[in-house]
Amino acid sequence: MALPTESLRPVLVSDASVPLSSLAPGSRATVTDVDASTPEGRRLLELGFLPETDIRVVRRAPLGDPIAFYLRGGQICLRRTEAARIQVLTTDADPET
Amino acid sequence: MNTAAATAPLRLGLVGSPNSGKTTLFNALTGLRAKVGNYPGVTVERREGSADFEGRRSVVIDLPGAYSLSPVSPDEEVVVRVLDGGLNGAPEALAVVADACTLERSLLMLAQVLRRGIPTCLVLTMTDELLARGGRLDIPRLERALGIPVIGVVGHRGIGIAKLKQLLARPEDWSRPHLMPPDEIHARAGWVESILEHVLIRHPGRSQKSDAVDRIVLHPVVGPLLFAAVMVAFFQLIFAWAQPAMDLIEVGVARLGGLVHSQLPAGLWADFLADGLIAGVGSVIIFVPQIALLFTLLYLLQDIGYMARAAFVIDRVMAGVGLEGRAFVSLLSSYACAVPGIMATRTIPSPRHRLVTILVAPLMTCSARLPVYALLIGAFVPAISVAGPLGLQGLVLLALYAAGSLTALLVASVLTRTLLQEDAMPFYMELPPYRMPTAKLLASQVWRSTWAFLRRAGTIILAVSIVLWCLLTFPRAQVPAGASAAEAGRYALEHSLAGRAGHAIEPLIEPLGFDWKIGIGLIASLAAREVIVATLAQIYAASDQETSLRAAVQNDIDPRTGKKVFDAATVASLLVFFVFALQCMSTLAIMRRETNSWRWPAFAFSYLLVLAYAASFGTHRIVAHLLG
Repeated sequence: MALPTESLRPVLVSDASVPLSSLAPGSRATVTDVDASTPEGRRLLELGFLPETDIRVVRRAPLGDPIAFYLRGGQICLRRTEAARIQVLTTDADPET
Repeated sequence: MNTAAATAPLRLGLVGSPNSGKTTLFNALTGLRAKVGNYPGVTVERREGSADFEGRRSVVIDLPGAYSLSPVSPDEEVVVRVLDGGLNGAPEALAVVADACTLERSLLMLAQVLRRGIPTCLVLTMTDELLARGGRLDIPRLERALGIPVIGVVGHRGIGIAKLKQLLARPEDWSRPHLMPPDEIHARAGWVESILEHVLIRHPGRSQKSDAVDRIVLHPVVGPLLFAAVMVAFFQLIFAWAQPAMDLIEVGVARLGGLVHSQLPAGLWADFLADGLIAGVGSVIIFVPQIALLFTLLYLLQDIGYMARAAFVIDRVMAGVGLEGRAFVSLLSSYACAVPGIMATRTIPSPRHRLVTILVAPLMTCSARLPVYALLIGAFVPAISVAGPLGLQGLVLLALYAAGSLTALLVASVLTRTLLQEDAMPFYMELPPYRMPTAKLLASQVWRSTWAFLRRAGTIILAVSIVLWCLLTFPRAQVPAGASAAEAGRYALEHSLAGRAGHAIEPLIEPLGFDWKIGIGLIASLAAREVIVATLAQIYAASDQETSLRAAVQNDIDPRTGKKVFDAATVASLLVFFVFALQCMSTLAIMRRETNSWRWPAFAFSYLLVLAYAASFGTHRIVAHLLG
């Protein structure tokens, strides 16, 4: 859970992008940027991890990796290393799912 | 207007992502008349079927599953090459198959397909599921927005198929897009969004049913337990359920051979028919029950949607040795038999992961090793209790299983870190909603895979069995007069080419503690590992394999040293040899088929032989030293 010092800071959940891999299950987020410098990164775009896409973190596998995401009408799982290429802003708004 | 086109069959390509319902649609269009082959130079399966659309003859090409035409896998490369006119020319018309629930992603690829300029229509599958999940789609408006024909179907219920066939009969009349969609991915995404804004009246919600099932199936505690239960059941069923059918085939083949011997005059011709040809055919069809059963379970779990969940649960463990979740099922199947295990690697999309899995599959202790282990453990390991019901014989068996499995993981981890580490493919996997496959879809998938085995690997297995029979039969030695049938059999075997080879390799295998008799057994066991038991029985002129062979090997004395041939060191060494060596032509044949070259079977055979030799040598030395 959050450290006490952090909880004293103003609550600005979405002031900066974080890697998608860092979000807890149940979180909702919007993609801001994808590292598409490699074929792996470009594949993430083709799978629908595009800027402004709403994503919900569904769950982690029992051993913590991979992670299942719900986006664009379907569920896709990625390993942590792949999900780390995707930068997101956490959102509170319910994405249209 | 299409009188000329009506004479030559229309070539229609089906393009779509792996879970789009493409296979169901292919079956609905072609029935079971599919031809299965390989694309030249790659290991991607090629499937074509003939069809009749309103009297127009057509060839439907089921292109491999693809998420995009910017390829990252061999499957996707094949799709791109076919659409670009390579590999027998581009299809004259394309049907892009898309799951209506994940339309956004499918349209990203449709944009790329439209840019190829081939007449294209869009087939939306799972339209019933879209409605059930509260989604609404305006198909006529989608048609206008895209500028191409769009049709909704429910493949497994046959809804919309008649209308689709009507459409497919006349691709010349299909409308073409007014504007070429953009190519660059972000621009393409904008294009998709602008279209969907008009036509998706309501997005489908998440599948409530699937979510509820997932909460149990992927539960942090229940999930792994369920995974273990499914895998144990899977393994047990392949092992146990196939056994009666395999026994039946074995008995049938033996009876047929007996019939030939009793009806034909004794001699070479009868021997060839019974022991060469019929036994060879038997050694092919003996695999059919296991393969058919494996594929039934595999496709059932896959079509339902559990296989992706199983891979999700176990992926972290397999990642530890450089593989991925989907490799687990193949390795598990290989405990029954490496042949279906290697065929099961087709579910692994990354060619590198697939190849490594194929190369280590023979290390999993298959059922053919059991008769060998049973003979040697039964004859030489005392049936004493170690602790309570835990017997020494069982512990040795367990150790042999463990040695093979651990080595498989070790070799996989070495291969993925050295030889095969380049061209890493990103790991991504769809977790599709749970769906119940129809019996028809299941049957067609199982039939196709089993038939492919019989045609492609069966022919090699049959040919090698006959060659081995010849080696074990020729040249025909003049049996000394007055010899009993068992002695005559032994004499003929010892003087055959294989028998001489057994003598010839004796210096090579002597460091392992093996004599020429074991040498002949090793050569004969190339047909299948358990054949060594029957061959040893023939060499020892044993009347039955159960008791007299056991007694014969226990009491065999080396005439030169006066010591027992099968001492503790030799027995241990032989057991270890069988843990590692790839003594199985059927596995080699299926490796050849699945990797499309002899290079990888040759590599697997060599590395496992070196491993087996080194381990046996070490074992023999250590045991001999320990026992003085």
